[in-house]
Amino acid sequence: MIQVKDLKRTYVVGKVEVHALRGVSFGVEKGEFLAIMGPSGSGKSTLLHQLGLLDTPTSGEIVIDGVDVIGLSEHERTIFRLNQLGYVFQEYAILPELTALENVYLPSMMMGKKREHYLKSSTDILETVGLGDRLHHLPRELSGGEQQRVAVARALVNKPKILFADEPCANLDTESSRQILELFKKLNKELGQTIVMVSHEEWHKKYVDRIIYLKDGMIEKIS
Amino acid sequence: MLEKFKVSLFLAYKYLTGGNKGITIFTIFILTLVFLQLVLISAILGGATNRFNDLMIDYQTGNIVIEPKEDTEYISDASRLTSKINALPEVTGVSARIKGVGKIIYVDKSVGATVIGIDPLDENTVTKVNSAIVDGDFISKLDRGEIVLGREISGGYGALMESKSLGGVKVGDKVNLRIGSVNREFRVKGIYTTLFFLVDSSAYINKKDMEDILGVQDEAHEIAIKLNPGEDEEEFKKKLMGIGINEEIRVWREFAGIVELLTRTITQIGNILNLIGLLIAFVIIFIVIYINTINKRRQIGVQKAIGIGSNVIVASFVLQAIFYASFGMFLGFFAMQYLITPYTITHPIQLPVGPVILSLSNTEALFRAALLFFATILASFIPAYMVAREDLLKLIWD
Repeated sequence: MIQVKDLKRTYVVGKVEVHALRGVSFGVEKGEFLAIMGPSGSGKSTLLHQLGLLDTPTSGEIVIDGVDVIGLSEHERTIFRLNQLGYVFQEYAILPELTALENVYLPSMMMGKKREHYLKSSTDILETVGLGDRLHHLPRELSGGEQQRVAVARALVNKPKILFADEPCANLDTESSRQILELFKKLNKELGQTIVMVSHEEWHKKYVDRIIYLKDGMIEKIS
Repeated sequence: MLEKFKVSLFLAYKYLTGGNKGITIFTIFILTLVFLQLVLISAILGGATNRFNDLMIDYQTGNIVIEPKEDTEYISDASRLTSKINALPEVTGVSARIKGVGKIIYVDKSVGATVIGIDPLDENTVTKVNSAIVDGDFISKLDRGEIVLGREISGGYGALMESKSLGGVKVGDKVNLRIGSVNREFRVKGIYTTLFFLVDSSAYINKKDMEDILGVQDEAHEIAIKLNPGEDEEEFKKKLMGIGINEEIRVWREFAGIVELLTRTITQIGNILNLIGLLIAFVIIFIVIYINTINKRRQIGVQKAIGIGSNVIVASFVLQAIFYASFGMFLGFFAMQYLITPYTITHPIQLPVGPVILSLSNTEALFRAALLFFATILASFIPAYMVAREDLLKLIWD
């Protein structure tokens, strides 16, 4: 599903070059639940941003489902993200003016799907994540865990090839974190959803198939 | 394309309904005032122009003026021509006038003036000078040796050019009128003002007196015609030519050169004020949308990340601004059309040229609305575009 070859990302901060990724190569299989772990500053989030087309690497190669995504234009990357990828961010990155249902169907609406279609698929996915009774609630009326589940539902509504999650439990209590991870596991097992998740919590390991450990912008080990 | 517009519209709607109501109301209120300022100037100008036009028609020319043929000083056989025109169904009144340019002298002061010899009964069917009397009376059919002065000649009564007037002649005073070599004494019977200095710079005497001074009989320098309300002046002019009137026939507008000049001057001042109004609207919209986008930086980044195109995001902010402007314009237009304009009908604005009723044409209102609309789009597009084109990770994390 994903092929990464000699991926480098260097940031220039003032006159200093920061090598966030120093040549990373690996692959992700279809239907795999992969975790990227490592200490702070190891390059976990940077790697996820490159894979998720949220940033452009300095050099290297990323092929997703046979498409060399490095060569895509900004507009093509936006379309690719909309149609092929899903994201869950660290904080509950849902729009405060939109209800849970509206937050979820926004990407489908953007794809030009019919109203009855996206209303049904969004309602279904919200029921799947356990928010069937919270469809018309605004984010401020939901708990942190519920908001993050709305973000998960939004990420999944267009049936993405890959779901990217950047420390999705960072702001959640243990119980809410467990619910999110079990949801990911369920989606992975039952729907074959490919998931790439960044985490730094040791207890998250039991939910994933494989872990890439990063240290100083390089792969330390894969287990 | 349509689906993108739908998303922009949806986001704009949610921002408006879910956003800060106070900011929305404040922005709409300010834009209502800006729109009112834009159209009010236009409406006052429209009203002042109407006032100028009315002054020309009601106090000077009537609707149509017949003048002697080129190289001829007088229209001869004036009474026959006057009767002929008076018989036409479109006509309200006809007045044959004899004009003399001379000097009016009072004690040690003199003023150059055009003195108009009229038949008062006829003149009253064409103009309303008799109703503009502020002191004394207008001359009557049988009066001889009586004169009615405009306030710019008499002085006093708020004359604009007091220093060039006779310095305060009163009703009952005696003045001398000198036209050519003829010098006659007249008693001031009345003083009038229309508030329009051009009209107020004339004097009226009985036509018989003027005929005596000039030594003419049944001749006229001009014949002024008042038409029934709603009659087409150009059509009537053609009709007069059609019935064999060979003299110069002119519509009142041809005499309105100075009025045109004044109107154009006011229009230019109005345009400058409108430009300032548009700039204010531009700055307000810019600030509102700029603050809005700054507050929503993270949201914009997230939207970009999940595949909402930058153009859709920009359009959502532009649509918000369009809503502010449209609602503001609607309220402004409503206030103008149904509150302010009707109010000025019963309570006209008192300008130096007299009472003015606001007059706003739909074309003018639409033009001002289009200007404000364009300023709104530009003022909202710039800040929204500036933020939406930023790197999405910077938007999310910075």
